[in-house]
Amino acid sequence: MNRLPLILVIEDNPADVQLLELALSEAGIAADLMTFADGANAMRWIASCGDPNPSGPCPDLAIVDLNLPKYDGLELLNALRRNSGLADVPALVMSSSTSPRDEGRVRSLPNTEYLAKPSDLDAYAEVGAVIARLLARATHGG
Amino acid sequence: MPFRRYITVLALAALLGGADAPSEYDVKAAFLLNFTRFVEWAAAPSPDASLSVCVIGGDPFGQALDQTLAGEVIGNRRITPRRLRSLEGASCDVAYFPHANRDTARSLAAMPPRVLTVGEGEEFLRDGGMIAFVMENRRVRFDINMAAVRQGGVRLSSRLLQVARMVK
Amino acid sequence: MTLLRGLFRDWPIKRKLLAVILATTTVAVGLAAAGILWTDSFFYRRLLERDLAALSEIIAENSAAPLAFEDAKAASETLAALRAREHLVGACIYRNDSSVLARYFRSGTRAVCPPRREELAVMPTAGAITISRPITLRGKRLGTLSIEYDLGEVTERRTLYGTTVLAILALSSILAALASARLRDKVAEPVFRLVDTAGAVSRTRDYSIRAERLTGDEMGVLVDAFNDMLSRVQSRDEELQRLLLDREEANRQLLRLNEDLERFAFVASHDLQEPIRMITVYTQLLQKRALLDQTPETAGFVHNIVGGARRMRELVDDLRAYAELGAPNEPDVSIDLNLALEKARDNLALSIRSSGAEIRMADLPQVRAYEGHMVALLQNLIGNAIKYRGPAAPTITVGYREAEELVFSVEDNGIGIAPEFREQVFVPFKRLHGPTIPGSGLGLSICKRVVERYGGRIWVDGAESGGSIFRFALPLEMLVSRSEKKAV
Repeated sequence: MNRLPLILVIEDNPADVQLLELALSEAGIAADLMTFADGANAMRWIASCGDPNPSGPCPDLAIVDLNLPKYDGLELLNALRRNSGLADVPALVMSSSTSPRDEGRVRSLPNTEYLAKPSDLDAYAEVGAVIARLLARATHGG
Repeated sequence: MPFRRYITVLALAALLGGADAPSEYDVKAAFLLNFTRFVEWAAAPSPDASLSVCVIGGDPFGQALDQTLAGEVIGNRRITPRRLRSLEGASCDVAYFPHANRDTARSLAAMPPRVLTVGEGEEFLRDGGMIAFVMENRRVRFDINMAAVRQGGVRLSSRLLQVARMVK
Repeated sequence: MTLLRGLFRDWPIKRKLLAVILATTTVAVGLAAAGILWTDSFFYRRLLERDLAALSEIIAENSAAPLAFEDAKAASETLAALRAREHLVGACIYRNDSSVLARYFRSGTRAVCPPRREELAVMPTAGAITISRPITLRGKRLGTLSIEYDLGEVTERRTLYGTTVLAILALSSILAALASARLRDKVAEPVFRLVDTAGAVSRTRDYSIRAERLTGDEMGVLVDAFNDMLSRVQSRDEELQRLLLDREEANRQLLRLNEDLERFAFVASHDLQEPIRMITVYTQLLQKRALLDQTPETAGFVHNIVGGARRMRELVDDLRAYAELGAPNEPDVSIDLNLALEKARDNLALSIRSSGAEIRMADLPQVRAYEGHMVALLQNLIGNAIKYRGPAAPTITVGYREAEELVFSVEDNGIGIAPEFREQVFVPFKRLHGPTIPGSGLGLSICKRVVERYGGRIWVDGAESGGSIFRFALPLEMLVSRSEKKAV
């Protein structure tokens, strides 16, 4: 399969999606983004990836916001892990929450990274670096 | 006074005693004095009037009369013992008639009022005398004739009657 | 006596009244009886003496004739008349030579003639009276009469009176007790009512109860005073209850207001965070991409927007931290304050580096607390020391010693705080400096809130260097284990 890596982005703020795209391009990462603004649609799409022969492509990386309409980020991550097709897909949780409790809960999940949404443009360089690392693990390791 | 009292006491003591017991007339003298004390005498005619005790017709008392009576005072009257042959012409308050006087009955009949008459023997009362000495068990006692007393106008104390042997 | 007084003191009032009444009756009757008895004895004796004088005169009178004419029989008869007088012991008629003319003796008595005297004499002897009287006739003394009369009559009268008095005493005591029963009830009833009322009040704490006024005497006054006191207590009690309710209500309102404020602060700080981040990041983007006209003026505008946004973010961060201190948090666990200090220093790494600050650290103990709080506390104090530094590079010394409390100190060589402002610095949003030194005005408030949350206190002193020494003390109970090194 010679295709670009597919990144599932579940983020209700279009600005954050844009900043994410900018971070990817700054980091020189070429990837397709599948973006959902709310948890419900994302869940439906995730479910289809569980089929033995999925009708469409499945993501190599999931980037999830914690505070989402309808389902919150943690619920989505749990659904992701229950899906046999997506159980091993690395996940990156990005949140504006600086609560150590949220961070702790996220880090206790397997194969899941946590990043606070940067409040400074310079910090987006780190976001790009983390995504590159996770993608490399997904494509080579998976 | 002590002297006279001594006499009286002696006389009375002699009555009780045995050996030198007072004679009959010592006692009679004392009694005679005592009689004057039981009589209510009329008021004295004058302040120095004496009370005359006259022994008529013979004196059986001897010294006892003067020793016992002389000087004694009854009320305000001094007793004066007098010895008379007869009563005639004499003023006596007490007239004593000894047993020896034979003229007793006649003298008594002619007795002026308010004279206490004392005599001896029961017949003296029958003759109209007032008080008569009698001897009883060798003791001197006396009887009283109340009729004669009243008739003679003598006022005798009833207490004298109490100690008389007999009252007629 | 003391025992008797103690007993009397604890007797019920009814019994006391009865005792008083009986005592009074006994004393009154006793005194009266004693008086009567004494008076009677006295007067009776006088009477007796007069009677004897009269009697002896008659006898003497009647004895004069028998004595004058030595009539012992008549004299004896005269004396025999005395037989009717049972208390007459004996009588004798003496002649003037002291010999006896006649005598009379009551049967069963010693036949001894009572003594004679020269003059009329009344001779009291033990239990008897002897009277000696001269017997005269027309002023002439004939002898003497002596009569002895025993005082059995006096004793008899005394016994009779005594018995009567005892009987009267007993009877009057019984009557007094019976009569006083009603009186006692009348006197004691108001007392009992009052006692009942007082008991009811103290038992039920119902101050609206009132004692009933039954009499117009001192008890009535007491009852009025008691009721008056109850009224006052009642109104005070009501006042107190109302005040308590008012205060509770005020407290509840205050708590609610506080909660609302904190919730507002919490929500506001969270919801403000996102837009601020957006403003910051996008203005930085604009700056970076130079999408605006690169005139020095517009560059300046953008710079100001970025600066303002950053300050706003810091403010919101602090506000959130401050608000979160009010919310319930993780249970306290044992934490190493050395590690907390490390974390705080890491968080401040950028400003430490840029200011060239030197931080000297003592060895800190392990305490039972929430790590986030301790990090915030230390971070704010150190950050503060850096922020208000003087011209020289900041030197910050963290010290610690154990006394009755755990006392920590953060000393700096900065610009210091004038003594008059040392209280104010802990007040939220109270800032001593203008915008030249950025700050939310919440840092020290956060410190204070953390320390007080753990029951400690925080204050600031002036350092010898001219800087400040912030000290905070935590309760000894928080200590888990001591520091291993000696405090610096």
